[in-house]
Amino acid sequence: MPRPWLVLAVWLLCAPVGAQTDTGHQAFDTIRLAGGVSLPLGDSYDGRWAVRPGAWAHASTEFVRGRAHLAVQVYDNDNGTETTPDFLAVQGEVGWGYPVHLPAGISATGGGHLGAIRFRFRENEQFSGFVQDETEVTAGLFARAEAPVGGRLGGFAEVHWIRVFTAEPISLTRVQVGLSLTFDSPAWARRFLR
Amino acid sequence: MLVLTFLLGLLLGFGPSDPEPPPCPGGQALNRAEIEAAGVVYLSDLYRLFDGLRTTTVDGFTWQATHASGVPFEGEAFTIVVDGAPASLSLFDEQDLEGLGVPIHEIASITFCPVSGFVAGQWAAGGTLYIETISSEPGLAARGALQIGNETGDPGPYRYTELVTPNVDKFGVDGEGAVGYRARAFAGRVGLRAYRFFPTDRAQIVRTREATSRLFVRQQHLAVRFDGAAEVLGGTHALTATGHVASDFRFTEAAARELPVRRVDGQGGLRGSWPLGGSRRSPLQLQYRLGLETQTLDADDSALPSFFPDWRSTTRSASLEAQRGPPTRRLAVGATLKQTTVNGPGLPDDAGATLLTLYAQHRHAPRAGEVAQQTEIGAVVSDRHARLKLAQRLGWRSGVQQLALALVLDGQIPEEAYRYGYWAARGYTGLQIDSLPYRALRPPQPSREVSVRLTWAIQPGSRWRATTSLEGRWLRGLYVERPAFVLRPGAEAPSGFVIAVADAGGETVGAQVALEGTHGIWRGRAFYSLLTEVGGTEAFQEVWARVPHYRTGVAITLRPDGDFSLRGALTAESSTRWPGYGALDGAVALNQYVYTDGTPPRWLLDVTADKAFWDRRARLSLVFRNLLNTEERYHPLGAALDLRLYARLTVNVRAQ
Repeated sequence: MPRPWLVLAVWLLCAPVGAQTDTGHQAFDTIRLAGGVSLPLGDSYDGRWAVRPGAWAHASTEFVRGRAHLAVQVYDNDNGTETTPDFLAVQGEVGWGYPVHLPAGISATGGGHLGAIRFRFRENEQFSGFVQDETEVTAGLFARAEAPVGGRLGGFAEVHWIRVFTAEPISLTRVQVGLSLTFDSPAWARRFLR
Repeated sequence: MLVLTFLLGLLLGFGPSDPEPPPCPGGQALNRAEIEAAGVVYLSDLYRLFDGLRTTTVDGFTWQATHASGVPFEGEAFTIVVDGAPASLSLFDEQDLEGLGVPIHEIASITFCPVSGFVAGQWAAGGTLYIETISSEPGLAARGALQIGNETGDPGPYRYTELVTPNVDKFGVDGEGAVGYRARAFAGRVGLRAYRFFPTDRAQIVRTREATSRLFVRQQHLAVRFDGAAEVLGGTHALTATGHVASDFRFTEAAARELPVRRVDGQGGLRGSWPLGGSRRSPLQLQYRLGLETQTLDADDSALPSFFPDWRSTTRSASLEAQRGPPTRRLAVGATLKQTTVNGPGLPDDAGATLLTLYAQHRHAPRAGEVAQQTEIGAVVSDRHARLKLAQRLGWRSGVQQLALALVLDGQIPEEAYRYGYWAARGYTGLQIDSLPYRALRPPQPSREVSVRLTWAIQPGSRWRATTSLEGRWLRGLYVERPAFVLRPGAEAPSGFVIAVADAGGETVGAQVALEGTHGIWRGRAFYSLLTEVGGTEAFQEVWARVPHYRTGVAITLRPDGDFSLRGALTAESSTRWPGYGALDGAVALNQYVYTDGTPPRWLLDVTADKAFWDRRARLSLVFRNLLNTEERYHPLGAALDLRLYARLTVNVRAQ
């Protein structure tokens, strides 16, 4: 399987060749809010925890020939033993992607993101009084497809890969699906962002 | 040859005005946009942006820089001048830029000139780092910044498994702020910086934890600065006052470990100028400077036996300079008297010295096509020694080309820049640890340095520019400390001894090539810097083995508009050897950390995204240091700095 960063590099090199990009808008003209569910792909912790389905939300806008986004996702991680606590993972990120517009209003976007993840450990009798939180830096890549559903509504699917820079590095791959709503940015928001 | 060049300089240059700064071969300047784009979160991050500088750090927070002058990483590497006022940051062999009370968001530009010369009434050995702050518009202005950082390498969820590793402390929350007011004939500003840092890397946690009686191993710094200027009594006068309080774990090579100290520094200065008459084309004016510096250093919740630094130092200075002629063709003659008194364990009652500096400086900055020059001659005299100084700079600009040459003959006396060895030789025992004797074979003696530096630059249009510099130095009579450390079983810190020699000397050469250009929204810069010794005494070669011989890098900035920038900088530096640490190679600390006797080559990628909001009233920077997460270490006993992320928010408001 090719490395994620290699796939993105090929994408960024090839994308401008045969497709039309988002040149019709200025930065921050529109805001797109999206949310949905996420599902784990593969094993992330050498079998020590089972990654559960979760939820995600993100907001994106036009920025520097592409789209920038802020996103957050939440999911549970169960261990199933008494010796190791379960934990909730909350990951926030800022990212940017290069969109390519395809026929039928479909767009495909590839890009990268940087952020942080917080591990919130569930207290149990054995770990009462221990450290409850850990935070670490993340970086990653994504590939996203969007299609119009009707009006301002759209459908959204994304493969989202995260590298967590813990001492023992963690890789997390998830599929995110959901709905999006696109609208013109309020004047005050445009003024603030610019 | 040097004297001939000096006389030539005095004879050169008469012409109409078109002022330029004095030629500075090998100099490099950064403007505000470049500093913002580079993601500077600590003042010492500025060192990374200068091609020719080499740096070292033990904890990753306190940095020492060097280029080619003097003894690398010991003593003052250069003089720091903020808005025309010298800033004294040196204590013994440390020059910590973080002690400066200038918030990063107040910096308009920073220029490093590696050529020695007379600056602000004193000899600036090793060159000068000029920091210019922003000049407020009339009215009240306030700016502030908050930042937080995180170094990677935490255990994460593996904390509860057999793969557990030590936690890595975060950076901050740190803050900076400044409030300024400007009226027609008055301007004033108060700046403040508050920083904290946890020296808890695996390489040092055993030493720092055992050195303090505190529960938490933490450094805290608070620096305050006031600048005021007024036009009164027919002249312009400026007052500067700074204070720096630090609860610090100061790594001291003479002790081979971090020492828990509380440092309190104060500095005040008044300077100004009065017109004394003369003609319109050749005005005469008098400049004066008065300064007062105090330093104290005490043990701070120390758990080390017999550690009592108890250092007190006071320096008073007064300077007068008469200037004749316009800035484009000016002769200046001046004198500075500086008196230092100190108290500390082991020192005699009369410890201290008085230093007299006399100098003359002639500067001619003509139009393009003519030779610009700055010629300086001076002497420094103490009650023990006296030495002469000569400096000659020449610059020539024609069309797209620039050529600059600097020749410096510098006789230095120990009283110009007090190093730890100076006071140790006079009996000071405050930093000595029982397990590590310090032996000075001779007290520091006057030293000699001859340097030549040549730069050629070409700029065929506004798109790109290439610069090449060559330099050579001849140094004699250097005071060099030669450590010999071992780690005994069960010890938390190395022991051994330090022998100081006062007759080290040798030669160094350096070369730099830089290419920079712009293309649309892209800006790029690539450079290569070579800096190495080419011969000398054993002690000289040993201390130069600590310096990375080459440093090279490329930086690319994407700036679609004035509100957003994305910058990536890849830098490579060669490995170093620290001969006095040879017996530590492979030694295992109490926490199983394995020491080495050098530092590995470094490949560092730094990425910064910087975005302004709200009509540029707010600015958010995300800074990634060492994004490749390679081994970034600068000292055999020093921390390995992993990938770090910093977020910094700056806000500024203004009222007319």
